Amino acid sequence: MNMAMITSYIVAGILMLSIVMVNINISNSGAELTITQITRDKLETVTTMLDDDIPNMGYDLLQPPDTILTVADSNQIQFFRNLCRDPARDAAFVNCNDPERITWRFFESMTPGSSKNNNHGTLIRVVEEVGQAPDTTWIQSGVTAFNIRYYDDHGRPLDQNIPSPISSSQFDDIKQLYIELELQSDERTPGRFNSDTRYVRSVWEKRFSPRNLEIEL
Amino acid sequence: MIGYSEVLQTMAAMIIFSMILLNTNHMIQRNSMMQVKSELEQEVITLGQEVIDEARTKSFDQVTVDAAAPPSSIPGGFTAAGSLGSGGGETTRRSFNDFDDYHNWSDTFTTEHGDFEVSVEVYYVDQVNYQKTMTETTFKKIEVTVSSKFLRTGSDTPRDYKLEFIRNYYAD
Repeated sequence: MNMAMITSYIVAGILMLSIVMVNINISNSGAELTITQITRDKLETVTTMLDDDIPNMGYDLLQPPDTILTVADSNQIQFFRNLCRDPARDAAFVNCNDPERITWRFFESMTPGSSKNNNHGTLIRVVEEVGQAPDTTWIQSGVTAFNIRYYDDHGRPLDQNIPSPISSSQFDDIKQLYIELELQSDERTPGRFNSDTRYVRSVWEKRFSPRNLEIEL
Repeated sequence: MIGYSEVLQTMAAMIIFSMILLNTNHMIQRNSMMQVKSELEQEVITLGQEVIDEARTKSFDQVTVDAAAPPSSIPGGFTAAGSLGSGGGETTRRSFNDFDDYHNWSDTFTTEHGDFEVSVEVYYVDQVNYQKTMTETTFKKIEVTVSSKFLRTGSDTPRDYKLEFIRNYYAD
């Protein structure tokens, strides 16, 4: 075997190895993109529900119970809102005149059995219609944090919130809410070595100014 | 000559492979940038909506703040188009009490995704074509501009994202 043959074998070997590495990198990048997209889609599903519930709290609340908020804590919020008066929803409710009591609560340590990520908790949304059994939606799609802060004025700096849990005598002071929601992927991103792998994280944060909190009932 | 031919073939292979490698790296980088960009754009929309929602909770005009009755002249009694903006005591966002107080207001929002620059413009719009007008009407438009140093245009300057909302005095 001459020198030229040996050199060409070495070069071919290097090229083959490089091609394999490039292939792995492309696959990893594609997988990470897919995991990110799935995580973001899950986040959007939850935020769509929150975007509908929170700004509309207190809707159609002209009669007792005369408070909009009934629980205001850092991991839980409970309020009244009439989900009816919407043709798309009316059929789902027995009594459209009474407002429903809605609860959002996060259980940090309640990791779903099917989850591969120990950081996952369980977020629930409970709708209670007067005289009917509560309807609970279990959101077990990778929520790792659900924090709520309450403000007695618009535009206060983030750290100047009313300390939680908030007593019922302070409910009328609440004008603004800040919600932070974090989701993590179920799967780790693929890496060349174990230390490279991580969960994909997607964070959504929003300050809500529900119009009905401005109204004295 | 045989030796030279093998070297040339190897070099050609290396050049072709280098080009493939460059394209692959470019693709992976673009994927990563898209991931970051979409996460930041989601934050931009949230911040813009946040300001619009907050402004909507305020009175339509200074003359309607805690007013017992509507102004005697509508829309002539509203704040003049050239005087829109926060008044004497309305120096901070917390003291704003009507929709157009947000005019010319700007701030930096610190979030999980870094700092975002937010600036606001409020003006009257024509009730027929919704274009900016310098006369008082019953329609005011809020235009929230959000930018981040991480979101850039093709020419590498910060990209401005604009969110708009038109408010009607009678639809409050």
